Amino acid sequence: MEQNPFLQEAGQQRFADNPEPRCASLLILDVSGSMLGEPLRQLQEGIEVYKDSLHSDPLARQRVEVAILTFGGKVELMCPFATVDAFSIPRLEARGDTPMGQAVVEGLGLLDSQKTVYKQHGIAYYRPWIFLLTDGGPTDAHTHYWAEAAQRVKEGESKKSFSFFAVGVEGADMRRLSEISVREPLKLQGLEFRKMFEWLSASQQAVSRSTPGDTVKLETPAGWAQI
Amino acid sequence: MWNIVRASVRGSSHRRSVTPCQDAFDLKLRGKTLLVAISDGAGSAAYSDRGAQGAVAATLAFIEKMLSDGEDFTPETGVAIVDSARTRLFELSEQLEIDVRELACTLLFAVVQENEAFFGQLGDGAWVMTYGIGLVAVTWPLRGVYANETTFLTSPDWNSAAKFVKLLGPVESFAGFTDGVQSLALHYASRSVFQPFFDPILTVLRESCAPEALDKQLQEYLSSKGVEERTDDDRTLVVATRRRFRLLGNGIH
Repeated sequence: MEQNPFLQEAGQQRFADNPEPRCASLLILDVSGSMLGEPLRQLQEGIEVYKDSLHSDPLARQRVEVAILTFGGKVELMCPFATVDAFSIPRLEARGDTPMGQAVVEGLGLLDSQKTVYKQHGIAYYRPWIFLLTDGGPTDAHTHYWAEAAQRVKEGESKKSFSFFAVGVEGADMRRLSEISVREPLKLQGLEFRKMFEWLSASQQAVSRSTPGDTVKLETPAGWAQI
Repeated sequence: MWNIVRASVRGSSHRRSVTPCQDAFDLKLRGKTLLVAISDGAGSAAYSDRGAQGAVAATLAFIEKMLSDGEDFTPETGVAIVDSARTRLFELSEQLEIDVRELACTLLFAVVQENEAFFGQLGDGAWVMTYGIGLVAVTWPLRGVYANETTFLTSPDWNSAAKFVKLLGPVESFAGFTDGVQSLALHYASRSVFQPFFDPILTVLRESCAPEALDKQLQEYLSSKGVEERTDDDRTLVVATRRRFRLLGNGIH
């Protein structure tokens, strides 16, 4: 058989080693006292489904970077941004009040510094996702945090700096949520965390597969949200 | 005068979804001048394969007319070249009765003459050329803020996004490619050409007495497993090198 001269040197390093483009996914989760019991258990399970699902997709596994910030009594960074390979799921514990505004403000700061890391390393990235989940209302709505959170989410959405989704579990103050979310907040059906995270993973897999010029159409969240 | 090798391969993601190859390219030799146009149709635009073909044809026709008219290549005439491709897209959108955005595509063109060269680019993909013993990027992929964004001929900001480079002096070898090849051929962090990608291709091409036979082999190479593992997008690559010597008889020993 005639030899292909272009294939002869295969095996040597012939391709540039460029980092995969990244898709940052920030989960801001309510772990205040009212989440205790079944809601928290289901949420924990949902996160595991999310991780497994991202892991099973070869591109998403390399491209989606997840961080988890919780709020319950205080705001806590449970996991800094990492691809699912390097990501260990924290054990969530429910306690305290609901400093949601502060959590959003700190989350936006975390996302900004992650973007700076991408830029410094010449890593291309997709529009980041922020996913806020709560079963109540902010206990810091009268502090500067709440107004700042609302203002910065609004600015960020209009500049397309990120996509911000707010999801209310049964009992959530949906009116309050719509104060900070430009998109209509979604109401979770029962405790369908699992389906919600499956949707999130599927959507992020679609985005991480996209190439320039692609407008990614997201699936409807009808399987888990009341719409 | 020129040894040229070219190939265009449909990406595996497009094969899965039965999308046609949305890359198009063509080249023309006019005397000692080589013209190349390459276009990458947007993945999200339904008729971008037609758009890419139209843009390539219009671009080459416009440049040929410029050469016949003895026109100079300048940033202004560069804009006119890009605009000719845009005009073709608008005509096509009327014929097909579709929104022009459904024809969205990028554009790369090169006019390499004996003692000057003119390169143009709108969107991603890039042109590289030999300079001394190495390769340099003539243009760099234009990326939007995000990894899945670029500017197309149909974008409102096309005019400010278009890049033109004029070089005086002979270009020995050059290559143009779409974004499916770009992550293999360019190193982003150092913003440089990844030379080991081009070296074997250029070596083969320079030494070839029958470059026409190489197209099929380049096609195979761009479809090979090693390449497929790294990119699932359409990929087009055109490489040209000036023949410096012609060996006659037994050559020199």
